[in-house]
Amino acid sequence: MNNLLKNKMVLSGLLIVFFFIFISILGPHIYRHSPVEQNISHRLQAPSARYIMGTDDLGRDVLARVIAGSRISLSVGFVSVGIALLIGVPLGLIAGFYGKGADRVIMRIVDIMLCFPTIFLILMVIAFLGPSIYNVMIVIGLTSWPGLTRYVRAETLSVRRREYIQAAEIMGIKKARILFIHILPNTIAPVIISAALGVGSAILAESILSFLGLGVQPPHPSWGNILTLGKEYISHNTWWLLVFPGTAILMTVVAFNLIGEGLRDVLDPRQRKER
Amino acid sequence: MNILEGKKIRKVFSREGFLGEQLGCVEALKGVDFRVSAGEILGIVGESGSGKSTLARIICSLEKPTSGSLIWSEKIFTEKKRKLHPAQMVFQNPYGSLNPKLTVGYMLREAISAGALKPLKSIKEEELRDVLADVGLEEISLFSYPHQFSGGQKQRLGIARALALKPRLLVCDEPVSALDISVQAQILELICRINSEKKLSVIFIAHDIEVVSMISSSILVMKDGRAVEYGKAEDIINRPSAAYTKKLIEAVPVNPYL
Amino acid sequence: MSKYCMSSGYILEAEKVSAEYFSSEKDIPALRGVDISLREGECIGIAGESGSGKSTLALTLLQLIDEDEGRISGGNIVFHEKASGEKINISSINKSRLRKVRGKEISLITQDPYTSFNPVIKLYRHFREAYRVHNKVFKERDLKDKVSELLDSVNLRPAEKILNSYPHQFSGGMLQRASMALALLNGPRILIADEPTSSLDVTIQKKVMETLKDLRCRYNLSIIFISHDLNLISEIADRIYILYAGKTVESGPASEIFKNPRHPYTEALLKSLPKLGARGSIISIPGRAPQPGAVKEGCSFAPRCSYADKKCFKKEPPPVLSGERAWACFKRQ
Repeated sequence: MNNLLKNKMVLSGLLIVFFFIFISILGPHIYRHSPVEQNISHRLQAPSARYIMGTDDLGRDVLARVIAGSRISLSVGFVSVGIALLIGVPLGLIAGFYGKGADRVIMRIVDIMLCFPTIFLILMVIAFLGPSIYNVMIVIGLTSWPGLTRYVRAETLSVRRREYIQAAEIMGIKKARILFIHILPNTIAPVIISAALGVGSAILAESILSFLGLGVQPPHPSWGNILTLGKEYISHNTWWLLVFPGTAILMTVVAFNLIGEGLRDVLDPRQRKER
Repeated sequence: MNILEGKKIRKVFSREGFLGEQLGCVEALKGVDFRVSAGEILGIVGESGSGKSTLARIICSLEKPTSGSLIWSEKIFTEKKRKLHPAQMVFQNPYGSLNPKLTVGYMLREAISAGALKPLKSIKEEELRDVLADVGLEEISLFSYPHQFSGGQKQRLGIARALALKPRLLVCDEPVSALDISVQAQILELICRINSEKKLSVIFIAHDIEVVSMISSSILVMKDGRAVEYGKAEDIINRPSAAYTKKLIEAVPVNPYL
Repeated sequence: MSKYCMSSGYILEAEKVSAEYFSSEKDIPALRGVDISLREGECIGIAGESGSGKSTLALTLLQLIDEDEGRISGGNIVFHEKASGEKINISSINKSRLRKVRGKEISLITQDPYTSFNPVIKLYRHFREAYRVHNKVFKERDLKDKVSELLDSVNLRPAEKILNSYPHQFSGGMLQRASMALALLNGPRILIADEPTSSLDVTIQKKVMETLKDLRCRYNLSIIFISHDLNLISEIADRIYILYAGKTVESGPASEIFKNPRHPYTEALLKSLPKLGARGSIISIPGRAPQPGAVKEGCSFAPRCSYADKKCFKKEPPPVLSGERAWACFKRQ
């Protein structure tokens, strides 16, 4: 834990993430402007003392919308990665530990999933289920587990061959116990790393979907659908509709990537130089 | 009296393709006979590829022999309806043989509970201390992790874990070849002491005939999956009959000054 | 051991060499002032347990300690160049001069031959690359002849077939002999062998040792042979240095060290050597070697020494010199 905080990448990433978590929880209480209240007479105003990040086409406060959007982005990130973990980790453990038939079936499914472009899969599902924030979470989660499964399987395979696992087998320890006490804790490092990186890419996926009009539906705010407005009024030179939500997306994604890369340095000894 | 007898043990490893078809096979053991009598140390010598580790794994049921049989002396099984394996193994690599995420206390507690078929929580601290005392690690903290120990201490912990299950046969697969010479002597001393104090039979595997001759009462020399020579240690060292045994003995570095 | 073709001139002298590795809390000293000297055509053995600093010494002599991991914190390493009679201080020359010494004058073979070759490159290109570093212009023909001769001297034949193979196509022993040939390509005068046989089977070990002895005579090499096995060292070394916790505790001619060890650690080490057929006579050294960095004041062997008294725990014993021998112990003055 100490090493973790000494790592500058992890530390700066965590600071940014905590900042966004802070504003997503407390922001609406501190900045008391409604993200959905319209004021047509003040439409498309550039940033000023009254509207710090300007207003959109219906005169809604962009800062309030960015703050409200952070809540959606972060929850999409965490929930969808949570779903991916719940599916990906057990499947990887089973494939790696039991091998043979189970391994073949699971890995073929993974291969098939990885053959489709993710965005195409997401579009397909949204087309059937209809666009909504919950569907977005579920769909991103359901499409991002195969990578995790591969990681966990590879790690399980290598841990499985270690001598302490063989010792446990000779001792007659039950399979489930070997799996959860001896193997799982030794495979968790790469899982944490890819989960952190996964949160970043899930946030990115949500913004893309909302930008395309397939994610969060107006009037609910999201970083992605603020960008959509920016695109529509691009001839009006409404730079604030692009810069502020864009920066928010950039910062969160970079923050999670920093945490992931930093964790890799701290947790994964193979990446570290051996003395 | 024999505690274990192996008859014509054969092991063939085959490689399977995508659809389960056979791609080729390697015969690691080509019919090996051996005996371990109660309370003795049997040394198995051979170079890499001789099949000595495969034999160890078969004895510990980590692999199934392709053909041939292992006959354990009946006494072991009638005495107690043991589900537990009568053999426990000590591994070569002290770094890979202990789970890095578990404390020493937890590891030993788990081993003792597996040996006594009792729940984990019912194991008392004195029992852990007794096992540690057997391997000369009385003073260590039960809350320490494997990476805090030296290679020799890790090997002692590996032996402690095996002893915690009260086995009838201790199978040591190259337990000293990753260690410095002076630490090697400590581990050899420990294995000898355990053998005589606990009347525990030991199979000691090494590639170095010199080391094997220091502790074994009988020696099995293996080459390419076959037993080339088997007999009392003194006879094999002083009057080797197989050409390969002679070659092994000649390869031992001779100190011209001693 | 026969004295081969030895002259008395020194070829390498290292004085008070210290090195330390970085760690998150403090720097860990691995070498704490080691003196060694090597004569032309001589073989010295460096013996020690893991953590004694013997491998760090090999890296230090070639200035090969990774800058991110540690540094050489003191001492002088002087190499006597033959042609000019010039003395080169390896510890203070610039990088381009250093490159001319490495490989050309001092070469290294390591423990695991598989990691010292690039697995996707055929053997010939390894030789070619190594040759090109020190010879800007050369004829392919000359290089081929030279390599064939070297491979012949390490008993690898036919050269053509060997050079067209990838490293994984060799057994450990063959590859270790190939790495010796590679180390000798640029005609070095010093060969540092860091545990060259510890990953090999015993019968292969014998072959590699014989090759090494043969090469020594043929090319008049000076060898620094590093191992934890004193029996192995005794086969080749003229003089021996015993390292313990980053310091030399005893040094001297091999015959005298084995017949009449002065330092208690050497004495205990000799007793713990395995002897063929000596069943039941295992004598080990109690306790464990101190971890680098955990060395307290006084003699570092004192906690394991049966002769130690109060003084040994308080003061570090200065080396006692007697002819070619030196040892550091209060109890053996």
